[in-house]
Amino acid sequence: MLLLLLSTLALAQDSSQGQAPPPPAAEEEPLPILKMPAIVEFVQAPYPQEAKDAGIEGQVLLLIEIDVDGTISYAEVLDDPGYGLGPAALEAIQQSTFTPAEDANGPVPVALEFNYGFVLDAASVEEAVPEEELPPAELPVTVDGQIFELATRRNLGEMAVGLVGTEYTTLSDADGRFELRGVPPGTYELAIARPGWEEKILPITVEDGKVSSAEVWVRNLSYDDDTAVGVYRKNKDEITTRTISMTEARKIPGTFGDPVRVIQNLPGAARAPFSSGLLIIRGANPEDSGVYVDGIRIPYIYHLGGFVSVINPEMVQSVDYLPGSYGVQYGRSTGGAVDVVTKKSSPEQSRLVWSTDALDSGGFYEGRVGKDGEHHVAVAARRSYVDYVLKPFQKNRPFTASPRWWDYQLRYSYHGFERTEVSVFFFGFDDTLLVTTDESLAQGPDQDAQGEVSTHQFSHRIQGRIVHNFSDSLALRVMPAIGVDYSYFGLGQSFQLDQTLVLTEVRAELPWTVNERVELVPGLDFIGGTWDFTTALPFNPTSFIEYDPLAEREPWEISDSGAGWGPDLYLKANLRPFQDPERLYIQPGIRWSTYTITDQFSAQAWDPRLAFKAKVSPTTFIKGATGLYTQPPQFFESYQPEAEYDLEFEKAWASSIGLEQQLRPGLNVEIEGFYKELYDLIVTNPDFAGFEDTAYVNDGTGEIYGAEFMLRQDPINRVFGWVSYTWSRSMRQDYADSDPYLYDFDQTHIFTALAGVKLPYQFEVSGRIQYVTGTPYTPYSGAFYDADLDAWTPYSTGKRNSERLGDYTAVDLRAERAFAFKHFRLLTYVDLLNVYRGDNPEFRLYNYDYTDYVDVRGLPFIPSPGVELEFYL
Amino acid sequence: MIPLSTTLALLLGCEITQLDSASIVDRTRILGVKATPAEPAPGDTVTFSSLAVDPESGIAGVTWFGCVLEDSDSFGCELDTDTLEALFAQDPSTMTAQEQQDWYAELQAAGFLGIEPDLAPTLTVPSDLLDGLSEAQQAEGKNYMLTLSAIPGGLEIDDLDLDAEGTQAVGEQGLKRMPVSVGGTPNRNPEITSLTLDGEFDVKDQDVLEVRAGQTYTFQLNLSDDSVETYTFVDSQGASEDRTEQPYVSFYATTGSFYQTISLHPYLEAEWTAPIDPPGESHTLWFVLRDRRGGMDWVTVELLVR
Repeated sequence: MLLLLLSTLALAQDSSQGQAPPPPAAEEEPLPILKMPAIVEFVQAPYPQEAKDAGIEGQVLLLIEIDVDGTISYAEVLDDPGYGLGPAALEAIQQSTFTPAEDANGPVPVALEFNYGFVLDAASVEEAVPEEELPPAELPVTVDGQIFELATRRNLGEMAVGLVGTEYTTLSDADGRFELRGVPPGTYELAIARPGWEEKILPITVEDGKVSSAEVWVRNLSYDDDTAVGVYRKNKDEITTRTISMTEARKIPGTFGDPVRVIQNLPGAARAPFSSGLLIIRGANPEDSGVYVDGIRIPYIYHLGGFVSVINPEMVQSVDYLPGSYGVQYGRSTGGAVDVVTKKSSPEQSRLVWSTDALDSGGFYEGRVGKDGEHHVAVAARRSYVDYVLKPFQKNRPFTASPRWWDYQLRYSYHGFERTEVSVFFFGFDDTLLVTTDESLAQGPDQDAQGEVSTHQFSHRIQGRIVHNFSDSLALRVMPAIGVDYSYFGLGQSFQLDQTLVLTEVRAELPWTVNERVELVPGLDFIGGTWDFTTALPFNPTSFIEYDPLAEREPWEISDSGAGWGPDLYLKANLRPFQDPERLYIQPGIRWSTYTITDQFSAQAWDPRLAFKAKVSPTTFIKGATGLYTQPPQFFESYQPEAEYDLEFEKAWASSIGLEQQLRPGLNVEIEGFYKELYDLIVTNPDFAGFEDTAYVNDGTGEIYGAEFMLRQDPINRVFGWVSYTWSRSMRQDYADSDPYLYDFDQTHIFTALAGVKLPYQFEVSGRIQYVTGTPYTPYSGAFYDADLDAWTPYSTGKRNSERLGDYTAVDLRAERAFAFKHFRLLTYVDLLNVYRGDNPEFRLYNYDYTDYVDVRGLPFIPSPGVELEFYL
Repeated sequence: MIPLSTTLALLLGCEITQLDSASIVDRTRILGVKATPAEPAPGDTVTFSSLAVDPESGIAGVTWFGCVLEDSDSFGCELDTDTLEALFAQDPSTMTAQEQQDWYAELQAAGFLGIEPDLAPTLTVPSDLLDGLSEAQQAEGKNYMLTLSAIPGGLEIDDLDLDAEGTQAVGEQGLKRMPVSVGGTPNRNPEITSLTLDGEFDVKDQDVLEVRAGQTYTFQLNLSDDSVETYTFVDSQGASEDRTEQPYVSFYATTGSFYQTISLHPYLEAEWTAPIDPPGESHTLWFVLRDRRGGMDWVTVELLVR
């Protein structure tokens, strides 16, 4: 007889390209897996004669896909010890059945790894897998016990229990209890196994007439997966979406465990200088890409400095990265989009997580309350302590910098209605930077530039979310939000800029599944609110137009307020014209974009978009998209109190075409080419002579084109990673009669390779290599000395951005080890940034008269250790 | 936005190689430019002087050109180089006294003001310069743009590009604005009356100051009582107010190091550390005072490191 040995090394919701059926109307985002598969009927493989003769034992590592009915829809041998064990295990597992994995909506297909074990015993040598009867129930219990999960202390049911080399096997019940009857006295090895948990083998002695008891604690192999955030899913409504699994995201070097930062490793995302986190997507300006939390736009996605995002990673379910050609539900951007999707439910068992690293420290709690646990609550808060860390480094320096940030999130959701989901998400962040100097130290010769430099910005939002399913084919999703955005910059007593926006945002959709081939999604994307600002300068900007450093400065201040709104409407259709929904998927859509700022700006446009995806073979898809994207001006561009406004939306016509190929389950390659024509870009008015003139005009044009490649291994078989390469060119031309020039962050080649591997003893290591072409810059030819200012004024005889800084090369590493104890988990890790780095010039710093320069290198080697404690309450 | 990471990089050093400091003079430099009077009225005669230095080869001369700026944001003077070259091609030593005066007048009309040190640059402001302007505009005045080129020792005037808008050739080119007005409180150059070393004695007129290698010294500039002027400012709405100048001083040296290179009134102190080696060498410190309205003054201190 042989004993089955099972274990799951990784679990992934079915990652085969788009093979899942179209989502129900109410399902807008992937849901966590709440129940793992369990064996219903296990088919034992006949022991291959070749292996038996050679006395070979071993395990066959299989990749299996378990369908929604529990059957095996796909199986593949990943690791075969030979001697016929692999084919035997493959054939046997295909005949086995499981209970399906389940999320909140019921069974879902999953892919998992499965160890099929072969162990020789006397019986199996005599005869391959004899069909023996189980020990009769009336025999006395000789071995019993109970199985618990480390850290969560949950009772584990459906665990396979057996004595190695015997026929004594059973499954634990729902309380984790098990019994073995009629085991003869002797010393055995008690084995406990189930997909998703670490296999446990411990010695046990059975004595005549006694019951041997065992309390067994086993470790979950995927705590994070099981608590819902770790699965790799695809947003089925987008043609080009790259959704990051949290399992991968939190293990990528250089991200400080922040899933949002992972997008900087994906195709289309340019490298941000100094790891600052600027979103430079497919050659677009950072301000041209939209960042959202659950579809509601927010002003910033990163805290000061760009090291961590403003949403606690524990709150994040997934990060949708849309580099281009996205649907009409996103607008007011000509660049890409990043949507941070937060979790909407809490696990049955409450969790408390405390994490600390080199930058900040914070806590997170999630749990359920109420008689039936229908009230789901999560709360998080975090504060940086970089200001304290920096203090020792700033001793004896002429100035001190004190950066500081904090953020908070509170989510409540009610799950007591049958057809309605209700949740509220309240979040905010606050960032400040204060740079101070001693009063006796001059900060340059300008008397108005003396004093402290400070920045302060905060945002607070309260977002609601109501999803009501009228029927299986009609649902209503409404997401209202109100909030405030504030930003301030001050330099000494003379320069003061502050701005406050009070915003109302509403996103509403009414997805209607007309039939199995047609779904219509009308929607509203409203943003509106009031603004006010104050700008104080030590000089009158009108007189500053004719710059004269000897002119007497006249302090100048302006305050104003007003309102703006943009009730955009859109309609998109999800069409699957063939029986096989994947054979062809077409998404036409149109968005009515409009934006008005009272007395300043008003424009509207129709943004048509079309996307398709077609299956040309079971593992090959082609895709393409084209459409118009419009964007209102920045506030400072549209504010023209004395001039007649005549600005229009900035516009981009974007197209892409690509290929997705599944090389094997879990291993995919994707190639995509894109072209974007930019026009009506807002540039400064060359004829501006005073506030009676418009300061900006829509004279700019540009074009962006390139190709993206990605080879990706999903997190299975102990390994995950990807190779990403982007080739692109981004050009701008400010005026019809001016020369085109390279965009400031144009990066011709962006190559990223990263991989992570699970090692024995709960160690995991990962690494990343990046190579990026240097950014363009404009060379100086010389400088004049201005004796009045005691400063040199440089001039350039070359073209704008006609030269490039040197290339960027860096290697980052990360190592972590997880510990599971009876009452908590402990994760320790260290991020090692720039273990290797090239010259990595970030910008060119000139000497006082521009006759010499140095290239300022990027960040040095930075080790960033961290710990995370997780308690299950 | 300058990200925090940039700030961190700068704070932590991040291998940013030290570039030359503007306070260390190791090549041809123009450190100060002075017009006397600092803010003339039409018809006044102005004399110009510069603090041009070159610790290696010395200064052969400083050429001066000037023009009236019709737009304050225009940059430099567009000189009639053909006329200037033709005039420079003439030999004044063969001219009569009257011919020399006429020749010089023609040069000035073409924008040439003089060559230090042999031909002191001067300018007589045309009496009708502000004619046609309103009283308020006359009080505001017009600016002269002065461009000058410092010629390192060993070079001749022919080595220079006379076009002030041309590329930087040799030496150093600088510019300065000189307001011409009929305002009630015209600017005057500030005056450094003394330079106190470590709060004890005045070194302003000392020939050579001996300092110890590696030692730090504090120099304190002392100004005349009327250096920090109070003047009348009329804003764009016509309202007038009394303002007080806020001068600052820039520090320069051929060697050593300054704790800070600029100091604002009333903190007119410079903390300078003498070089460790080699001892026995001579060096120079310069202190240039600016009143932000175009007025300047400076002090030079010769040093011997012991």
